[in-house]
Amino acid sequence: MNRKRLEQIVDTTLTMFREKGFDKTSVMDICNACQITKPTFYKYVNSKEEPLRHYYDGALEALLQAMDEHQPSNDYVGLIWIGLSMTASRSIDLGPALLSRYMILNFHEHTITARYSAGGKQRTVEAIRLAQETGQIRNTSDPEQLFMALKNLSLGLTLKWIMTNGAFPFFRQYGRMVEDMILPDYEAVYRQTGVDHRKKAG
Amino acid sequence: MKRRKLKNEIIQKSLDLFRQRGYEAVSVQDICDACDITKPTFYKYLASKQTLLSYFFSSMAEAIPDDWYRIPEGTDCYQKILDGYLMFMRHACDLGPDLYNQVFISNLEEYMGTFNDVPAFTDLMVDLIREAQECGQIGNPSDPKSLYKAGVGMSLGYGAYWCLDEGRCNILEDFCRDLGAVFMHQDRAGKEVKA
Repeated sequence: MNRKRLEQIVDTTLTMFREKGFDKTSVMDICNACQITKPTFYKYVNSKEEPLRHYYDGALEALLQAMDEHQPSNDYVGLIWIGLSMTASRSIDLGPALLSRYMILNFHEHTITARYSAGGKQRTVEAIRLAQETGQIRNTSDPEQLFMALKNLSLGLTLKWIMTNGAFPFFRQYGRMVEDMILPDYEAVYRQTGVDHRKKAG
Repeated sequence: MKRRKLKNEIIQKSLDLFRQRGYEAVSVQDICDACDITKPTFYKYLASKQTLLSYFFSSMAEAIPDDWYRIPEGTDCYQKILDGYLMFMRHACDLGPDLYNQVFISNLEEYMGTFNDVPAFTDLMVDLIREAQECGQIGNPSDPKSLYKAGVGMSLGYGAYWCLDEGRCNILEDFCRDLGAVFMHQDRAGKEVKA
């Protein structure tokens, strides 16, 4: 399996989806653009929509790296937000039409790709725990339960966003809800880290 | 009045048939046979088989008895809040993950309003949350409407996760436990209830 060929197919497909739309892009169009035959196409992906799955390739690595590199490293509120929103960011960037196709694919095939990968979850739960211990957030309930609640809220809100064709600003809405749920103490965060989240809030 | 009853009957019977045989396997003719009506009559009330899915929750919501909307003295507000959310989630569980799965797919393809708010229900839930905050059952002091909406978003998410997982996980328990964490559920003595 030629990794570069797969990348080419995925990139070309996603570009065409964005430019022409999902419905107006045919497998033949993609093959012509990549200069490959249909049989070759199907050697790499099962369907026209499967490249959408590959869009999330590397998302976990990117998330872990972002959390590793986040400064200051004791800005736990910032870390929590990365853990909760970074992969969602990729989804929202796709736009409601393509994201809809991706979610329909998941419902048809009963897959939960890129959602609850263990690595990302562990780091975020840890950030929640540390935020509680240092008083950066005031909701002191079980960190893992909070994580699951916030993750599933993200899924629910994403679905509502798709269904209403992007009628509301996802991250503003989600951000406010996360604040209402975890109850950050921005004063404490500022005292401990020098980071002022209040400017970004809302 | 009679028209409304018939429409509800068609919806109920359809959902039952879907649950028994699967959404794809049931035709409009099958539904007509089960309801003892003709196709023209069906189409007088509903645009298509798919339209039925938009009534997935509303048919249940309309059946909520009026006195559920009262909050008598001594009501365990937190329990009633849970019951409120669970009414919708249990309805989905009863109809099964395959049908609920179909509801999601249909609404993603074209929004049919299945997940629209029920205003009276929303108002009651917000009041209950406020009362629960006042009597100390809910330790989270955020705006009640915001907390209510978070619960709705969560129930949508848990429901979707359940479908994606083919009905394997225990969503009702998980939802209640995690909602308790978000709401900072406390017993009446103000102690945190750890699930």
